[in-house]
This record gives sequence, C-alpha cells and structure tokens, in this order.
Amino acid sequence: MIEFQNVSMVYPNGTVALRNVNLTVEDGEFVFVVGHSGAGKTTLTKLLMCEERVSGGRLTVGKFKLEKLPKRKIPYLRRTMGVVFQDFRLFDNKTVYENVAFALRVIGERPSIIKKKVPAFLNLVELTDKAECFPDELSGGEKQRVAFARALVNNPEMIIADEPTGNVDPKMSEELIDLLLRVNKLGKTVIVVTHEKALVDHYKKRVVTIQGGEITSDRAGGYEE
Amino acid sequence: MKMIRNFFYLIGQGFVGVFRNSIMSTASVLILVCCMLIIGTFSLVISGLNQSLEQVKDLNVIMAYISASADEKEIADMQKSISEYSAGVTCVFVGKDEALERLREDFGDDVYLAPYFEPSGEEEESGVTHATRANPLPDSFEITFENDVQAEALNNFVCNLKIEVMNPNGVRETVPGITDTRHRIGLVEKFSNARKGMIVLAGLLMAVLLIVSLFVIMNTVRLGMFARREEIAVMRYVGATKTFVVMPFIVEGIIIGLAAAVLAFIVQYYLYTYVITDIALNYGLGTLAPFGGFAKYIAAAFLGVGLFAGVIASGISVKRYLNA
Repeated sequence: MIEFQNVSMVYPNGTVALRNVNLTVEDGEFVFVVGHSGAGKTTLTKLLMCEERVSGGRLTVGKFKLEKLPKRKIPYLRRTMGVVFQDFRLFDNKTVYENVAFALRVIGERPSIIKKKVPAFLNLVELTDKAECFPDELSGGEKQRVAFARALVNNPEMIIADEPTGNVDPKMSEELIDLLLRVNKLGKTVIVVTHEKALVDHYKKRVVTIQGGEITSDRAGGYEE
Repeated sequence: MKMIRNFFYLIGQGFVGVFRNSIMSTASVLILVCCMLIIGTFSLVISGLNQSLEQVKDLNVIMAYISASADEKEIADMQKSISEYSAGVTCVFVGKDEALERLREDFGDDVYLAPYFEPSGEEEESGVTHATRANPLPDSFEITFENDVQAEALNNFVCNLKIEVMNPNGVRETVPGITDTRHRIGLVEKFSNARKGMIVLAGLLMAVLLIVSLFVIMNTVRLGMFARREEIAVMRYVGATKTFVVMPFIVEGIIIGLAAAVLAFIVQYYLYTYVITDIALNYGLGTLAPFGGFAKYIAAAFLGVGLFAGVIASGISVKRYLNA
C-alpha cells in the first residue's frame, strides 16, 4: 500500500511542488495521476522512488517509511518497484536482451535465472524476435516495451510509469496501457502519470488530478479539467 | 555466491571503463609512471649514497689523544665517562705501542719507521743497525659512535675532559686530559646533508607529481562517470546498491594504479641497470649495488603508490560525482 499523509515537498530553491497531499493507493490498484505540466506529478513519482525526500508529512510505500528511510535502504525500496520513463532510458550500446538482463544483473541474479527470465519477459512484451537488436533499430513503441520488460523482470510489487506514452503514437499508447492492465491483473499496483486526456477517459480507472501541488480530484472515471 | 558473481562482474566493468576512456587512462598511467620513477630513482640514489658512506672507513670515529700527564686511573675515568656519554658510543684505549704498530700496518714501507722498533733478527743478520728511538706517539682513545649520536657535541665533550696535575710550584691544577682530536665529522655531515637534501627534493617532487596524478585519475574516472551517467541513473532506478554503482570506477582506478606500477617497475629496472649505474661509475660514485637487491622494495613502493593513487582518486571522484 502507498500512503501519503499531509505530504509537502519544497525544492531547495523554494518552489513548492506538493502541499498537504493525502492519497492512499491500495495494493493491486490501477491509478492514473494527471495534471498539467508543473502540477507536481513528476515530483510525486520522485518521492515514491525516494529520489527526492518529503519536506513534511509521512509517506509509506509497503513496509518502507520514506520520510526517515536511510540512504542505504533506498536500493531495496526501488527493487520493489519497476519504473518506466517517457524517454525509455535504454542503453544504446546494449541489445534488447542485455537491456532487460541488466536489471537482474545489478541485483546479483544468477545467470541461469537471467537466461530463463529475460526471454519470458521479452515474450510478454512481444519482442522475442528483437532480442538481439539494439535500441536504435527499434520504433518508439518497441523501445517502450523493452523498458516495460526491464521494469517487470525483477517481479516488482508496483509499476510506476512516468508519461510512458509521451513518445509513441496513439495506437501504441493503447497497447502499452493494455500491457499495464495485464500486469495489474497479475496483482501489481500500477501508477501511470500522464496528461493524455483521451487515454485516461478511455480506460475509466481511478484518476488522481494534481494542480498547483495539490490533489484537486480523486475519482474513478475520466480526466477532470 | 552472489558476492562472487558480483565481484567478477564489477571487475569486468572496471576493465570496460579503462578501455572506454583509453586516452585518459593512458595519460593517467603515464603521469603515475613518471611519479613512481622519480620516487624510485631518488630512493635508489639515496641507497647508493648510503652504501658509499659505509665504504668510507672510520667515518664514525673520533681519535682522542690523551695528555702525557694523565695517569692510569685518570685514563680509566676518562674512558668510562666517554663510554657513558650516550648509548651508541664505545671507547677503546689505544696505547702508544699499538698506535705505532697500526701506523706501520697502514703505511708499510712508505714510511721509514724501523728506528722506533726493536731490531728484528733479520736486520741483525744483515748488519743493519740503528739506535732504537723513543715512540713519539701518544696514548689515545678510539671513540666510535652511531650515526644518530650528535658527533659534534661528543667531540666537544671529549675535548673538555680534565685531569689534575702538579705544577712546578707543587700546586695541583686542572688541565685538559685530551690534547687533540681527529675526526671526519664534517664529511659525515656533508653526506648526511646531501642525503637529507635529496630526500626533501624527492619528497617535494613526489608530492607534486602525486597530486597531479590524483587529479588526472580523478578526471579520468569522472569522465567515465559522465559518459555513463544515464547508465548510473538506470542502475539506481532498478535498485543497484551504491557499492554496485561505484565499484567499477574504483576498480578502474585500481587498474590504472597497478598498470602504472608494473610499467614503472620495468622502466626503473632498465633505467637503473643501464643508465644510473653507468652515470654513478662515470662520476666516481663507485659501483652501485645490483637492482635485484632493491627490487622487492621498489615493487612494494610502486604497488603502494599505485593502489593509493588509484583508490583515493577514484574514491574522491565517485563521491563528488554521486553527491553532485
């Protein structure tokens, strides 16, 4: 479970990114977080990953209390979540297979497990035949699917997708969200940060709207302007 | 098992980093090699000077000539005082007859000393006769001291030893017990100063080059980190520990340090064997000891400097980069 209790976040330059945010996401939920640019969506995800620390309030992710989480425990928090970015963040000098395997390698997974898991997840994102390709040989949608496979391969408890459809066409956007829904059905919590109204409206899931660092709406259905 | 797997993976990544930044890595290695060669060359020359110093006879000896007025008790008292001056001092009494014998041994036939000795059987048979003359040499003390003893102060102490004699008026008065001293304290100091000067010079050069080396390695590692900044970011997002992120860069620093140590050792061997030894011979410093005698010390010093520079530079670089 993710729980924000009166969470505020002020950057060192004085910018207030979030103020008194209260939000609870139960295990296995699918949530869209929407809002205009600069509304505080990305800060919210950064707080979840402990990339930034809360300035006030309490933030709990599973068993981790992030407001007082020691630095050395941050990697173990991040192993409970898979993260997908708008710009994919793939290694151009590694093949598709190696990009996915990398996530397992950094946590010291056995080579035999890597050999089993990576093809399975490439199959899940339908990229088996592209395993030996390099990222610059793939389309935007394919790159994002590699990023999804990398995020999923560690079997995380939740997926955080920050504008995952920002660099792909509408059809591919739907395919990617469909993929996330399939993952969600496996019991994983999914948080998708986006500002694509049509996409959000299409899926009729829980939508949390942030404006000026505050949650202005939290309801199932569509994008509220 | 997991640790062993990670260990080999990280070592491999360290090598990848070295080859990825091959130009900067090479520059780092060469600067470190220069630093090590200066350390090595100065150390070897200083060792050579020490050996030369040991080859010069009687450097740490003061010959103190005893006043003819001193009686046996006073001589024994003075010998005791000198021996107790400091832990590194020994004092041996050399009687005038022994001194004469030493003189004959040292000069052989170069000096005609026969009149001062009783005629030998051989001389009597040959018909060469001469009157035996009185031995003009005084009794003396042969005072040896270790290098760390203050030689000048010891000499002053010896010169100021007093004895009591009866003057012609029948009054007892205090006179110097030692009439003169002979020593090479100046030479010892010259050698000692030369050695100290070289150590200071070597130390300064080493410090400057070491700092330069540290900066070059730091930049090499930082360039590597900059080139791999996205990889590092992704590593952190997928839950890599800090150790896992930084170890390849530390390994990179260690590889640079070790490579420099090995290269410097090889160059030092040839430099010493074929250049420094020749120069020493040509400038009359004598034959320097073979490199083999110093090899293990030089190897240990180079490895130490290499590892120190590699680990410290990459450690600082990584810390500053990750904190930025």
